[in-house]
Amino acid sequence: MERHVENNRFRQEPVGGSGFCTRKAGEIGNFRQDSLGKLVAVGVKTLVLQAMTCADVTAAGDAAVKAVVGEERFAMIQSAKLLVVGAGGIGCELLKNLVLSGFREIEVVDLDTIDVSNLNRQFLFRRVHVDRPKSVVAAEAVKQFRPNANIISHHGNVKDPQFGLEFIGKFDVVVNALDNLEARRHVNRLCLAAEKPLLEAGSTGHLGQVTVIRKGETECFECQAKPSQKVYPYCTIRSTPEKPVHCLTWAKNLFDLCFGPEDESNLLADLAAEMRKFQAQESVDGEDAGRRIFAHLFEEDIKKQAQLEDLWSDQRPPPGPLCYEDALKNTERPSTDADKDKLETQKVPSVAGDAQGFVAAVAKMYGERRELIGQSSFSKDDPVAMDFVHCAANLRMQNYRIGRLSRWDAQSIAGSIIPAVASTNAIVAGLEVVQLLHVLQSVGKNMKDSKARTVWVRFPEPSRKKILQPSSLHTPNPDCFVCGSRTARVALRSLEECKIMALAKGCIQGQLGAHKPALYANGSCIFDPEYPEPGEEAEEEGLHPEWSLSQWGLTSGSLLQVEDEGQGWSINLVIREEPDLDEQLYPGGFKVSQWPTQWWLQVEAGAGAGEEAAKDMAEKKRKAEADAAEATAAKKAQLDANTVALDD
Amino acid sequence: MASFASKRLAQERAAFKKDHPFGFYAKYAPNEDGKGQNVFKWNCGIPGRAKGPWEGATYALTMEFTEDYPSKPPKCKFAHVHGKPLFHPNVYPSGTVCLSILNEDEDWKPAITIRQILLGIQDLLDNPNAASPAQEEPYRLFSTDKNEYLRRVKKQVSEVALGAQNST
Repeated sequence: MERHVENNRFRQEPVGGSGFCTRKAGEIGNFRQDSLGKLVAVGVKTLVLQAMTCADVTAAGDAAVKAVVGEERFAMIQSAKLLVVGAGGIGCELLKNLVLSGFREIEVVDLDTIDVSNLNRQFLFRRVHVDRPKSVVAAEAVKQFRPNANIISHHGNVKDPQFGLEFIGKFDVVVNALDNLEARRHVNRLCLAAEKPLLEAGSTGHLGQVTVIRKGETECFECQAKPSQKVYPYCTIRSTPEKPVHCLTWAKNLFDLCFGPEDESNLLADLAAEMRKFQAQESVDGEDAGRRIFAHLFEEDIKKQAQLEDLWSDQRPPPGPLCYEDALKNTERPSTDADKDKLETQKVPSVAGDAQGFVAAVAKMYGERRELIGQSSFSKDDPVAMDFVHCAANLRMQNYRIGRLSRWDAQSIAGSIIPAVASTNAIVAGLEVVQLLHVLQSVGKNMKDSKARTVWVRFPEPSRKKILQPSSLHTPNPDCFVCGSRTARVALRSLEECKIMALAKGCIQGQLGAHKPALYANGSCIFDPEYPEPGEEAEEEGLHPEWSLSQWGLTSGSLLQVEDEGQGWSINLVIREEPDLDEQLYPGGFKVSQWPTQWWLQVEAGAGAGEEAAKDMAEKKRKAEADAAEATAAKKAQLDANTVALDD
Repeated sequence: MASFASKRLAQERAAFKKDHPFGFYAKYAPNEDGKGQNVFKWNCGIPGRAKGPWEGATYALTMEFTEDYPSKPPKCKFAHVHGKPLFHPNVYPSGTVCLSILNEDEDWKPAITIRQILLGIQDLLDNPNAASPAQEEPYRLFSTDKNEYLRRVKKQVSEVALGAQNST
């Protein structure tokens, strides 16, 4: 069971949430009442604190809390200095809970401003607050509940230098209410470096979790690899799509290719030259360009594709080209009875609608958006970009005989949208306060011996009617490259070709989550984050970001020391050259894996069954484990690249 | 594995970058072959304090560390001005600074940061220590003829301001 929980853990790891949920408000409303009813029945401890929140007079409220938690704990609560990171979905609930529970010394950091789509679940905000900083408005709002609370708000990114180790050092506990992996990793590392306990929480839809992290005592946020969004093989996207999501990925890349800055890593980068042909004329007529692109992508290219006989069989018929005029004639809309109650955007359009929509979107880009061509990038919340991607993906689905989608569904998939549920956030924020009390009481003893737990919020399965599932905290993973051995292996295809700046950006920042890495090898500093790009200034300092690893004298097996100047974190990398590194598995070109500190234990485990066999077994096991770890790391990297901007 | 010294130096570098007093700089010196930077040798600059005799220029100084750092302090050396040492009673003809916090037998402590060293040297510029002379002429003038001493200092300040300080 324990194992099961652990496996489940990161499937529940929140990666999403968005304003999108407004549209599903009805559904969520039902769930909310339903699950709240169950919650009350379960009789969660948290709700004791939540229930007291009706009191709005400071003295009466404080007296009520004191009656529940006792004098001693209340004194602890009043003197604790807290840092709350994030003032969105969880953050609003959390701040409200904290002040009403008697916490007085709170600072809150958030980089966002309030959007209309936040108002359905971030209850400290009202319409008049739209466009104001979340941290400031949230602080003002909760101060009204408890005027004696000393709440300082910071409108900024927690990764900014002013929120470094010195800043973190001021607090007793850091409480996270974040929505993205990148910021979570950063705060995790800061708290490890500053040796401050961290409460980590997140929610995705109906799932959530709260846990406690303290250096050396419990698992840190990065002890276990996070699974990630699926990576689709290149050829599936380019030649043999089977699912709508393949076509949507293709369409997103197409949008960035046509209207974004040049990007070699774009999956369609080799089409850039052809696309420029349609776009290059002096005064591009948007509609004309749209029709030319249409003909090129959905007719001519598909014809060529269909001729590649080896690719196609009875099970996988060749795609059918689509010409614009024919498309316009196809005005039939697939509809079912269920469509009656749906919004227009929830229905699948006709092929003609998609064709017109595609050309119209291109025309719009060349009309009102002309200035932005060359610097746009796909965002699910940009209506023109979304129209373009929806229509382009649908047309490609038509080519490949895949069932087309409504704009609504296309947006959900393209934006990796997971609806944010207010009730989950409220439960999670309540649990954070309970865990916070345990943390405050654990001073002087190991967190593992305290009452602190990891708590999962789960969508109740019919068989087990529990929403909350506590589990004991895990000991740190000794091989964790953040809080443990601090050694990792990095394999790459060619030391001759890989530039030091590419390693710093793609691997050390992108995959290992460093913020401002300085690199050292053979006693010299060979990369300084102050000089990330080649240039005269860098050269004067003896730095050459454009040099390859072999120019820097690194060979397979070389040790590279990374000092993160933003996080106070460091790691040693063992560099290895692997010419046949799988491009599909590791699209970034880097394979990162942990360096097992106690590899000999794995070897000895098999002793007694004949040494050779044992060694063989151990080797196999180690290899399998390493491969698994490496595969997750690669996927993780892809996730980072794909993580959409989230809003709570 | 990286030595304790280079680890500490990397941390000092990060700390200095994040927060350093106005007008100062401190960075690794490029290796002689132009390939990377030497962690054990730093190029620093100390501005003369406002309203003091050394106001008006920034003085280049190198710091050299050994593997024994931070148990032993770095050697701090001002660059020469037109081939002459900095005109200061506590600067040796070689340019080496004589300061108690830079002497392991006196006030050096491993916890002293590079930022503190630089601020200490800036303070020394304005407030020479007559008890430990290191250079004959400035010491003599400082003790006997303050006006002439200041005139000579001012002369060197304007020379440095015009770029006369060749880095060592």
